[in-house]
Amino acid sequence: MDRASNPPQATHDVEILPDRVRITLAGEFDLANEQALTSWLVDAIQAGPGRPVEVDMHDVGFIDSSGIRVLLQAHAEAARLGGSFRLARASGTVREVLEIVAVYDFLTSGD
Amino acid sequence: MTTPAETTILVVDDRAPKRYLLKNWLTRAGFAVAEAEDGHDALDKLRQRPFDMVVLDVKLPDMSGLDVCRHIKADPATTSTPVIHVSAHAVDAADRTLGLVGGADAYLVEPIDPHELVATVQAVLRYYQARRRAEQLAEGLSRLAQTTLAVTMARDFTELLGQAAAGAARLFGTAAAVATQTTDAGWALALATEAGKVTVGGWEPPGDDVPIGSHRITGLAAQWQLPADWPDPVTVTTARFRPDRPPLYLFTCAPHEEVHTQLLTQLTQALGAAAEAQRAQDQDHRIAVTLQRSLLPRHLPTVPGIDLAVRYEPASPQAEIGGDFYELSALGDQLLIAIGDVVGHSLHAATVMAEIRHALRAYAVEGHCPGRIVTLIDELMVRLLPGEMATLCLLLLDPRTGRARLANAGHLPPLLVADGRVSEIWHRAPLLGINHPRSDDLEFVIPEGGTLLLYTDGLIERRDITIRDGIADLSRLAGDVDADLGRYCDRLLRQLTNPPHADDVAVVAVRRL
Repeated sequence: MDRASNPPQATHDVEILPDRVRITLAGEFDLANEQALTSWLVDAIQAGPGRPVEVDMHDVGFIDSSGIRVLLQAHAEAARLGGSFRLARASGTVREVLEIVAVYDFLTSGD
Repeated sequence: MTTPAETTILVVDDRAPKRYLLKNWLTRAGFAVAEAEDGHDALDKLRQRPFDMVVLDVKLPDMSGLDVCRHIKADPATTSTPVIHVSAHAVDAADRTLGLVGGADAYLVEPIDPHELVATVQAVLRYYQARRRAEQLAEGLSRLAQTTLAVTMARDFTELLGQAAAGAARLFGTAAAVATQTTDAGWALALATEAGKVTVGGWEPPGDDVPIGSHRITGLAAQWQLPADWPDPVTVTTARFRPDRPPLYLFTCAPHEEVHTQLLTQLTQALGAAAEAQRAQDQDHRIAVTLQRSLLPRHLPTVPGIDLAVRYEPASPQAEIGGDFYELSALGDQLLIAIGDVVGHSLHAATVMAEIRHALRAYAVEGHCPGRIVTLIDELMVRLLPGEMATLCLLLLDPRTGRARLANAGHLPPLLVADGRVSEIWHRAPLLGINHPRSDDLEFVIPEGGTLLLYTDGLIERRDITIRDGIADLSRLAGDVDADLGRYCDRLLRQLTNPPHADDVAVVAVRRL
């Protein structure tokens, strides 16, 4: 796999609902699109400060440690603004890698 | 401008005396002349070979001269062949207009003045030659741009030189070769045949000093160690930007036209610049790798009753260096074993790796248990390295009893190979850098003859399989431990990874004798 010449395909969609902000991610996330993922999540968190943020991971096929770092930092940013941040519907390899680094429960509990 | 002697004109007229007259005038003006009797004869002859111009009677027995002209202009092979109509009978402005609208470049009406004929032929040729030069230059510049893009996108010197030679062969329509010094001090030459087939090999530069700037000389192929079948003479164009930088050589067969010499210079400069950029990039990568390696242990400790092997495979030069690390130290009667991976790929990740490694050695020397060491590193990172994250698997082993205490922080499970069975040593606790609560240390025993295998994700991670399947693949291959532990690690790397590596791969094997 040549990451330098083939940046992973990834998309996002943000819905600001009355009671929460929902971000739907799709594609693959790694070092090559770390910056993009950071700004998508931070923008969404700041769009509804204090509102619970839910990240739908159903269509994410791959995430590496850089992507996980972004999720953890987004969680911290939401907490700083007085809101909550939780992942929903993570499955397959994505859930597996979150469990190996032992942050699955933390990131899905919404504390 | 092309001399008239090289210019061949096809004269088309059904009347022999008229053809004779036209041929006579044009030959005396220095043109070569071929003849055709009617429209079909003319089109046949045009299919057989190119002509520089057609002098065409409007009234032919088999078809109209206007139709012959339309055929010439409609065929891509002859569309840029100029046509001059000659008309025997009195014609009015409307007829002449029809001829010119049909694609003719000039229209002469009898009685024809020989001087006017020759002057008209020369004027039309002048215009066509200028147009052809402009078209050639535009095409050459377009191919130059394509080649420049291809060499800029090349990932290594082999690809760069191959693209450069193939691009030069396309640009000039001849065999071409490009040579320069690659990063590892050797010189390489890429050869492209006229058909575009490329071979790359070693090359010895001549002793002469190449001047700064772009220069062009002519020589013999043998002087430049080009293949025996290279046609002499060879045109050698060089580009060198600074006295302390190696030059780049472009070899082509001698150009005939001014357009080519302009393109030669531009191409050589573009290739020279691309080679400089490639050297700089390779150099950066080499410095980063050297620095990263200097941050890892220099020697393995000698521990009675324990056999150790370590492998560290660097990522490909196209990938950034990673933050994989390992640690093996004898601390009193204990062996400290650790493997880890800092999130991110950069020299910065390598420096974070060094800080974590030094911290873990320091905390271990103080005599803390693995879980406490991990907690202390975690606190240190949150305070002093905010935003950084890493995985770490750390254990202290008593070589005499085989008793091991392990603390994991988000790292992949080590494998224990004992009595023909492979088990995954899972100890789930969060990765470093977020200061989350941890579970107690895991205690287990490595029996005599047992082997513990630690690794980073480069060994098992592939996007087409799950991590579970990656670990299962490793378990299958790891069960059979070679007598030589170094060979064991090499075999696992060979069977599980596919160089060039997108990521670093570290493997640590520890066996109790």
